[in-house]
Amino acid sequence: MITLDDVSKRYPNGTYALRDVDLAIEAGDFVFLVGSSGAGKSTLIRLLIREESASTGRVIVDGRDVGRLPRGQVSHLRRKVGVVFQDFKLLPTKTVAENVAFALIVTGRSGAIVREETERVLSLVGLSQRRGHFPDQLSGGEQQRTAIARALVNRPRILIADEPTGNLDPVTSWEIIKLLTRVNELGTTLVMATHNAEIVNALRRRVVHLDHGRVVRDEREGLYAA
Amino acid sequence: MRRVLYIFTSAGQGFSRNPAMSIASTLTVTLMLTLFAFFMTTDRGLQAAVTVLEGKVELALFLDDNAKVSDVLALKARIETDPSVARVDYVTKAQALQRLQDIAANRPDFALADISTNPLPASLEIKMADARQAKSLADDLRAEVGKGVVYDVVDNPQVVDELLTITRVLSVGGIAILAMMLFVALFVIVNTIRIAVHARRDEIEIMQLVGASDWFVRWPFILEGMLVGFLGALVSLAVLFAASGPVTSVMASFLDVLPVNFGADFAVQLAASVFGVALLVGAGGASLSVRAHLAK
Repeated sequence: MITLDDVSKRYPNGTYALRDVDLAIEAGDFVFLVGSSGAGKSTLIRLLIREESASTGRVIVDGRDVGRLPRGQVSHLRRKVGVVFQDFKLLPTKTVAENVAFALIVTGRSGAIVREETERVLSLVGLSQRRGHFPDQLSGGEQQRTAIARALVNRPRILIADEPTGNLDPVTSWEIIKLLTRVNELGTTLVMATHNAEIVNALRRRVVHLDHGRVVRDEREGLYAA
Repeated sequence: MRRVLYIFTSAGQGFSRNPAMSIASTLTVTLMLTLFAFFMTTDRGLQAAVTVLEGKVELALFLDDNAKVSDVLALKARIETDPSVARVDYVTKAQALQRLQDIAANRPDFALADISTNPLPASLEIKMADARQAKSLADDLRAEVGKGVVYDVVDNPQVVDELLTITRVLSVGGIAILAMMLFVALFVIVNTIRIAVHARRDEIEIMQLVGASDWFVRWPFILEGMLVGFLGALVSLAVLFAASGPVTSVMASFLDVLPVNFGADFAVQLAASVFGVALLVGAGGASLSVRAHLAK
């Protein structure tokens, strides 16, 4: 589903954010990206959705060489890859349902499909009752569930979460992780960058450990620290 | 459908979210368009005046009383081959006298003494097709003076020369001023849209993350730019319409010798040009601005 083939990302000032990274993630995998701040987790995620391009090497997502996608195709890539961020990135002037529907509207879906699919993901994340609320009327966990619903509404094959629990308390974090686990069980490939050792250690999923831009550890059923 | 709705509401929100800037750019565009319309009208008026005057330009070739008719006809034929000449009329001595008598008959203060001989020369009257060539043709024909056929050459194309100069100066000056105004209008629109883009940068980022195409991101801003242009065109045409009555009467008394009439066709043409320029400038400025943002 995702393949990184000898990928390096070098910035104009000469520093490497990623160096010689080889990584293969199968369809349906659940992968934790761990490592200290600045280790390259966010850069790797940005390469997957073509927010940045690799300096050398190839990034393959769902069969497409992401680095070589023409600019007009980037939007199509992003419809197949849902992304969730630490800071939620919700539009404050739109309600929960509107924030979710927005991801469908921008891709040109018809009104009936927008209503149907929005309802489907809102019930999946348990926010059907809150559909008319604005983001600032929601708790952090609810905001993140809205963001997850928005990421899922285009039925992506891959869901990427960049520190999704970074702004949440432990109880709420667990709610979000349960939700993401459920999404993964429904068949979506999940890549999650996190600093939350407790969650990584409890779930015992694949762990890819980055340090100074290199993959220093890649374990099935791994722990947060070696 | 929802997508189209979104694009239009976003454009409207963008315009109303920053009213001071939107009004400022609309007024700049209005000023530019009013100048544009002014130059277009003036240019059209001068061109009409030039056409009317060009039709009146003629050279008169006064003929020697002793010139042979065959020589005169040969000269007439030769002049007629010149492509800048429209027509050559032969006016005999008798016809010239008749004309003078006709003029005198219509003017009571102008009495002709009865003299037995006819002092007026015969002439060739040359109507120019291209008034600009009148002077050089006259110079050529002056070479014939004193060879037994041509007695004198009279040309009077200065008015046309002057009008042509005015037209040229106005065209060049007008284009220069318009280019500057166009630049200012573009600059203001680019900045207005840049502010709109900045106000929406989070929304743009999210749109791009969830897979909106570049065009979908651009359209609301381009429409907003076109809205600025459209409103500018409306205001400027309203100003022109209000001003057209008084200006026309002033111009008519000023140029009463010239039968210049623009007509409804020109009004339609002018309105279409003003709207065309307005929408192009609005859309162009906006897409420059959004493109710069998306390229970051």
